[in-house]
Parts: sequence; C-alpha cells; structure tokens
Amino acid sequence: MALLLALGAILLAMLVAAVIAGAGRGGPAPHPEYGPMLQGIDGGTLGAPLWAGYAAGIATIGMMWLMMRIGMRPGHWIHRVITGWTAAYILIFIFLMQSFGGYASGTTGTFLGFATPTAWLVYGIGFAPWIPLLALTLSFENAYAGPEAEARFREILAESGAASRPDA
Amino acid sequence: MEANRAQIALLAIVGYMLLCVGVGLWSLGRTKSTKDFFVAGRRLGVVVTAFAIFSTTMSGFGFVGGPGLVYSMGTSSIWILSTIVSSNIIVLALVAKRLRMVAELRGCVSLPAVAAARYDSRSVQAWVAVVILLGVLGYLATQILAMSFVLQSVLAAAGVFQAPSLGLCVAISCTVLIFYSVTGGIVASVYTDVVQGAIMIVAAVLVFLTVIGTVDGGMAEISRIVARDDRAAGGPWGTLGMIGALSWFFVFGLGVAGQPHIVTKFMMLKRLGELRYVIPLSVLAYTTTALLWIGIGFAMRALVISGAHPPLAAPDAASADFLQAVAHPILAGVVFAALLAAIMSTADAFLNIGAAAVMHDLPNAIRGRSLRNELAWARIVTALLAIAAALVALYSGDLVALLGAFGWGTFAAGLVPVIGIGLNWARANAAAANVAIASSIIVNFGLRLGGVRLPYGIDHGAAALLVSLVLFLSISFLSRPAASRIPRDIEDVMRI
Repeated sequence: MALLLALGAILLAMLVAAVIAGAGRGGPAPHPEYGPMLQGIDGGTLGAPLWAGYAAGIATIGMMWLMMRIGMRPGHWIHRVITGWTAAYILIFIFLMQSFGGYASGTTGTFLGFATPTAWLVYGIGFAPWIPLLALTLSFENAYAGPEAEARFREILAESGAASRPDA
Repeated sequence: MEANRAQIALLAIVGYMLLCVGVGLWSLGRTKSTKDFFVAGRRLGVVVTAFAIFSTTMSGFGFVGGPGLVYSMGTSSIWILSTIVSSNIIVLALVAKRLRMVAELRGCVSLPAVAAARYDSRSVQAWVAVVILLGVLGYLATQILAMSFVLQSVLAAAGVFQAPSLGLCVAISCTVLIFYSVTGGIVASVYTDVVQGAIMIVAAVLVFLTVIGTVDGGMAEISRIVARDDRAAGGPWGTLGMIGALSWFFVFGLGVAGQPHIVTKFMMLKRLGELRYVIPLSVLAYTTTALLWIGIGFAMRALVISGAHPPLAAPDAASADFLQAVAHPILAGVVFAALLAAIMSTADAFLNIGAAAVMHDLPNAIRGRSLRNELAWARIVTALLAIAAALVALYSGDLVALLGAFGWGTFAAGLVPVIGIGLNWARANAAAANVAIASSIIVNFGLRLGGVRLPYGIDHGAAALLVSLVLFLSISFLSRPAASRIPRDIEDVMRI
C-alpha cells in the first residue's frame, strides 16, 4: 500500500505542478469544415512534454500491477507472472511512445489497419493483459479461490450464524 | 427492402420494447422480496452473470457515446477500451471474492450495506449511498439520452412524426424503462442480458464487417483518411492529447473496482468458484462488441472527411446515422434493437442500485433500520429516479459519452479506495473512508460545476480518484491501527 500511495502521490504532484504553472491551457479546436468534429494539436501532445507521458503511463501501469496482486494467494507463482507481464507491458508502452515520436515528426506507417503507434495501443496495450487473465483462469483454484477457500468461508458462515440473520 | 429501411428499424425497436414489457411482467412474479429485487435472490450462474456484467458495462455509453467520441476525437477513447482486460483482472483481484463473501455473510443487498459491514460504520454507509446516488443520476441520464437519440433518429426516418423533439423521445423512453424496471427489478435486467448480449455480439461483428467494406482499402484506408486530415486524430492520443488520454487510461483502468453496476453483479453469483469463468467470458464479449465502438466512429469520421456523408449534427448521432445510411436494413434493425437492449439493461441496473441507496441504505444509515414495505418503496423510488435522470438528460446539455465518463469518474473516485482497497487492507478505517468519499465528491463536482478545465484535458474523475486515493491511504497510514474497527467475521473473510 505504501508503494501505491507513493505512485498516487507522484501523479497528484504532477497534476498540482501543472495547475500551478498554468501549463496545458491549449485544447483541441473545432474542425474548420465539419462542425462538432475536433482537431488536435502537435500530432496529439497538446504541448505536453514527452517525459510527462512516460511518467504518467508507467506510474499508472505500476498502480495496475499493485492492484492486480492484491487478492492473490501470497507466494503463489501468479505473482511472478503478473510482475513479468508488467515489465513487458511497460516495454510495450515505451515502444508506443517511441513510435509516436516518429509519427509526430511525420513518419507514416500502418499496421493491421491503424497508424503504427495506434497499432501498439490497440494490439499491445489492449490485448497484452489477456496473458495474466488466462494465467489467472488456469490457476484460479490455487491462486485465488479454491475448495479450501470455499470450505473456510462455510466455516465462518456457520460460526457467525449468518443463515438466521435478516438481510442488511 | 432498402425503401423500407426506416420501417424495419422502427419495427425492431417496437418489438424490442414489447419484449421489455413482457419480460417485466414475467419477472414480476419472480420478485417477491428486496433480495430478489436488488440481488436476484443471489442465484445467478456463470453465463448470466458474465453477460449481465458485459451488457451493463457496454450500455449506451459504449454503443452511442463510444462511436460519438471516436467521431469527435479520433483515437482518444481507445484508451478507455484498452483497459477492458486489465481493469477486469483488477476487479477480480480487489473486490469480486470478498464482496461476494461479505454479501452472503451479512445478507447485504447493496454496496453501501457491504461498506457498513466492513467499516462497522453507518456514516460510511450513508456516504457510499450518497456517492452512488450522484453517480447514478449522471450515468442514468447518459442511458436515457442515448435511448432518446436512437428513438429520435428512427422516428424521424420512418416519418412517424415530422420532427420528433428530444423531449418527446425522452418521455417515451422513460415510460418503457420505468415499466420494465419497476415490475421486474434486477431479475428482468439480468435474464434479458443474456439474449441482449448475444444480439450485441453478433451485431458488433456484422457492423464491423460492414465498416471494413465501406471504404476501399478497409480499416487501413479509413485510418489514412482520418490521419491525413488531422494527424492527432489518427495517432495514439487522438485530439484529447497525450496526458488527457492517459488520464482516461488511469481512471478507466483502476476505476472499475468502484463501479457499483458492475461489482454488485458479484453479489448475485450463486457460487464463488464460478468467478473463474465469469470474468474471461465477460471480457471476451466486451472486446468483441468494442468493434462497433471503434468501427462506426472511424468509418463515420472518414466518410464525412471524404465527402461521402454530410457532417453530423452531433457526434452522438454517429451510430444512428451509420445504421440509417450504410448498414443493411435488417442489420440496422437488429443493431437498433441491440442498442436499446444495451441501454435498457444498464439503465435498469442503475435504477436498481440508485433505488437501493435511497430507500434501503440512507434510512438504515440515518435511522438504524429499514423502511416498512421495502419492496413497494423500491418500486416507487425507481420511478422517481428515472424521472429525475430524464430531467438531467434533457437539461445538462452534455454529450452522452461525457456524461457517462462523469458518472464513471464519480464512482471510481468515491468507491475504489473505500470498497476496492478497504476490503483488502485491514488498516483502512472509517474516517479515511468518509474523507475519501467527501473529497471525491468535492473535487469531481467542484471542477465540473465550476467549469474548470484541467491542464492538458485531464479528466475530472481521474483527478478526483487521485485525491481520494492519496487521502484514503495517507489517513489510514497515519491513524493508529486500533482506529480500524473490523468485525471479527469480516476480518476472517478478509484473510481468506
């Protein structure tokens, strides 16, 4: 929880610093020809420094990592899978940022229907989390809630006399 | 058939609304207690729960607001979709097991009741009920507005009315919704979710195939058209920008554990072990239907830019216009019915949790006991909430998706620390929970009502979640461990 607090505090400090500095006032403008459609600035940064994108993205992934591990049985290999996956996920995010650098400077390429950095988002950031989800599904009974957990819960129910209580 | 396109769509919608009335009447006989009305008697299986979760999540926000966001902003909202899998792992890890156990242990029929049990505090129950009520109004307004946009488009095209006003469409939508929700409670919602979910999946795949065939060169050419017109719209951040898009990644990735319409479904599950397949099934279905969100939004943006379709009057018209102008008439009819299905089930779920907050949790928190004849009050409050949300929908003047994002942010900021972290961390205490919820409401509503634009388009909900999470963790760390009063049975459950 201390690490979760630290990462949250970093993001909050970045937000407060940006507010105090009066940064990031520019926003997307209405498209000159097509009404409510919007147009962006600078290929999509709105003037934000790239390091802020790296920091925000990696801190968010770090918080995801911490939250995914809560609730899993301590010492189970699923923790190592989640940690390994998180490292790979951060790499995917870095590849996206690198690819965006090229895109912003004018390089154009597409991969499976999307501009290259957008493809990193769709197929990388979007689909990579299937790995820990499948690992968790396979190891569900040992890593999360198996017959032992169910039995212990039935014991707690019996001890507390829950069946005779009215709904709360 | 092409000549009767509008009539086919109208027929599908009328047919669906009649089905809702029928399901409502069928469910009436199966709803005999508040436990049936709010948590479906706690007897749902894997498929029903999985489809209920995915249908509730997808909703009008996804089917109407999502394509509208892509049309308006380009790729920005893909950051929301990119969290579908990771956020569901988080919800499984943080809340699913413990919420299900505490609900059965204490006979809880609502999320505020679970919070009251965890913190042994009626004030926490009251705060959770208040934040749910506020979020419900925003999110419910999203659903009603989305349903009304669809109805307005179809009625106008079919020539039933010369120019049906949005107010009239809100009134029609709200009437059917109230009947469906008041009679059937959550039972009506979850059982129709299975049929609705199946329709949504098939419709999303067929629509995406239609999208690919809309422009020569398919999705790659659509992307090129969008990027040639505006590099930001086709890049990874869209027009919202890098930091704004990442703030969506943050609030949607971490915030799902605070969404009451999603997490309360775990309280309805028959057996704990069924969680194993609920999340993967739900995520697979949601990922498939996301094709519609991305496909229609990009296709409409490209069609308008290339001059093949006139500019839309409003971004939220993207889905309806695509179906009216491009999709096969029968597919359009099916998708219109699927759209209403998604919206209706989500609205019902929100009415359900909102009604529980008003007539079950607030009286319990304030007076220490429930109202007499709770089931009758649940039905009355359900109807009143629907009317209140309809007024918000009519007069808020926001986009469907932005209202939805506001509702999501309200729930995430208010409930992720209190429910998600609190059910797993013995040190968390009631004072921290109360401060976290109060701060989330102040920040989220203060920024919104004050018209404050955060730097780089950062989402208000993300800022509120950051503030509430940091305050919750800090106060809990700074308090003496004895400040955390956890009842013995709850503590035992938290150790499993």
